[in-house]
Amino acid sequence: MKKTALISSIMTIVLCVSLIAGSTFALFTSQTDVDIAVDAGRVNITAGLVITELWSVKPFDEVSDTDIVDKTFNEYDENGKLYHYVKRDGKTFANGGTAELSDRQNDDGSITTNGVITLTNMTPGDKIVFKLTGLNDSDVAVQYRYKIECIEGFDLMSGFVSTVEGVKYAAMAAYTSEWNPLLVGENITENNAEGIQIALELPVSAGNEFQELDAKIKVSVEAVQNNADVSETDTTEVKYITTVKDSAELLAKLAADEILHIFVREDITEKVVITSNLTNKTIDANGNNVNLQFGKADAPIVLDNVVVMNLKDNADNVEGITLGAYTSGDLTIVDSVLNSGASYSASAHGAIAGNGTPTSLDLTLERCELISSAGDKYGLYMTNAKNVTVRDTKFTGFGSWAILINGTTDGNIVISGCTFTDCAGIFKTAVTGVKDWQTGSLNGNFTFANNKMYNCTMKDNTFMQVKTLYGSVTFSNNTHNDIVITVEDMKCDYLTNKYNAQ
Amino acid sequence: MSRYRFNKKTLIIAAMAILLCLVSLTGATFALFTSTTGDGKIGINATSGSLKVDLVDASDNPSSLVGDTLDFVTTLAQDKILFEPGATFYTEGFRVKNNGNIPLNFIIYISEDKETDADFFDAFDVWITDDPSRKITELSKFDGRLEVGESSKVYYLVFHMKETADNKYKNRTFTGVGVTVCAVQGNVNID
Repeated sequence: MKKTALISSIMTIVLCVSLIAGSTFALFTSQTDVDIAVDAGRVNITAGLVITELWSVKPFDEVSDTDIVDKTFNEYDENGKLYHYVKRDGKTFANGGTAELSDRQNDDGSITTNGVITLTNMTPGDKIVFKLTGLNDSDVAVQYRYKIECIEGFDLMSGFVSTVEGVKYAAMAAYTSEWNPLLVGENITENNAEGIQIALELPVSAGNEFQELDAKIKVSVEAVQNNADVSETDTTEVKYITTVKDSAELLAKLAADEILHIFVREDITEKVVITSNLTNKTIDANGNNVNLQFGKADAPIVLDNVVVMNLKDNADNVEGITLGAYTSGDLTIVDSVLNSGASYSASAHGAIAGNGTPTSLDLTLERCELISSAGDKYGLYMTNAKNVTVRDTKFTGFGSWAILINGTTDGNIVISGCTFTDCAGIFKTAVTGVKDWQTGSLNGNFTFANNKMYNCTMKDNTFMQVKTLYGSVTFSNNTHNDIVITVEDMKCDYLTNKYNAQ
Repeated sequence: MSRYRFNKKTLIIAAMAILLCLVSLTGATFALFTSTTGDGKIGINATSGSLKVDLVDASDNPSSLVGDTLDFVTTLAQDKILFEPGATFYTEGFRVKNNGNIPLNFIIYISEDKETDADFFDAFDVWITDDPSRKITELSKFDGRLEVGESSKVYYLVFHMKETADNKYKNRTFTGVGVTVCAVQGNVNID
């Protein structure tokens, strides 16, 4: 044997052995795969509406023998005259109003079969009875509950009497049922009949204030898997709409848990000082002058989903909305007119006077009009804020900044779709000043878009003042006297540099 | 005979995989299966009706008479309407119009304000007619019905000074006498 070959062979063997010694043994193996099919269950309820009956009143002495009369209760008008509900044939009420069930074209393009009932020209004494149907077409048993909520038109809704599962509720704003079990393939039932029976009537006693109004009512069915713990919310909950005419009534209704929407029917000229936390409340001033202060120095409050709407503040010396260090949470003000009643040197400033507000207050202003009656005042004034959103709002005649947030905004500021007319200075924030409350920063983003300025002038040689901004700047589609303006036109070097550096 | 050995490495990997799963389950928060049906997609849209009644002139292109004066007309050559016991004068014609979107029942009555002398009705009867040459109806017994958008016939009010009106009514001028139309929705009557 050639020696070389032997050495090579030996070396090979050695190498192999070396490799083997240092490697993982690849053993004979066998593998059999067994599939485990895992299907997740599906929770879904298919719901819809069905119109069952229409009723309209007749004077008791005009009811005929062939009329089908609801004798469960009597209706009386304001003169004490008796009426009975008589069942209607077809889809019309006695005065020509109609009730139609149709599919609903949803915003996302989907269609909900039998998703909407449209009622037109309802008059006092009209009533519709319908059913909410639901089928558990899940793969699993569920628990379900349903909700009926007014989402628009609380005026008209306050005149309705709603009947849910045989119980009448006047001026109902929202109804949430308790949870109930539903097996696979089972229909929602009430008293062994399919569907939940609901009635909506405008009673004979409803007066002219309910004419020409609209309302939208949302109906939904929620379902959870059957073994979910729903004990904390397993109770029927009803919220109401109410009407007040003075300060004491307003405060009392704000403190009532079951009240969701409060109409103020008359001017309340003295300031209403609210000293309790508010959750899910709407104060609808209904075009009246209502002066509201949220909290006070020795009674700070937290607002959770609180809305003020339709307020028409007089150009008097009392602020329409007063906020302060005692106001936190979130507040929305919509569709309101506010005058700057405070004098320039007074402790409270602004058409919306927010002297001392903290960084835990989120404020949204939409579709409002802020007016300066003397030309030397602020529009929206806050010391600090969490987020500030101002949309589709008009500012007129403010001689010392339409929007001023003196200190720190912890979140974002959005000013969009607004109109500024005859204002000296549009927006000022996060500018170091002499006082400690004049020092702060805008910690989030700043958006100024789609706004229009007319005949506005500069204040302190600028339209905007910002000196400390940590987020981004969006400045787009703004005009002054119908001429497109840029961020440079605001004459704020800091803002311009910040914008251009992005 | 074939013999199979389990790959020890493979077995270890399989065991670890299982273990990891268990760790994930015990450490996680359960997100329940839920469903909300019809949220925003099922509902009721309701509008209430509008009851609006108006008094308009008798022309083909009528305008509202509210706030205006309803004049008396006469064939007599006089520039002033002067009542005397037994005298009867008709007003100019007018219509009642349904400007709402529901049918209505209506009545017409003579309304008085604080300026009207209390004894006006002691001296006058008031009737209504749709034709001065035809029968008149006591105003207090008159009512009508109008469907949506409908206008009534032309009506005339008839003022008659009672024959029993004595001298205390001489040289009197009655002011503050108004004509009011009152309407209710069409499925109820007016009292």
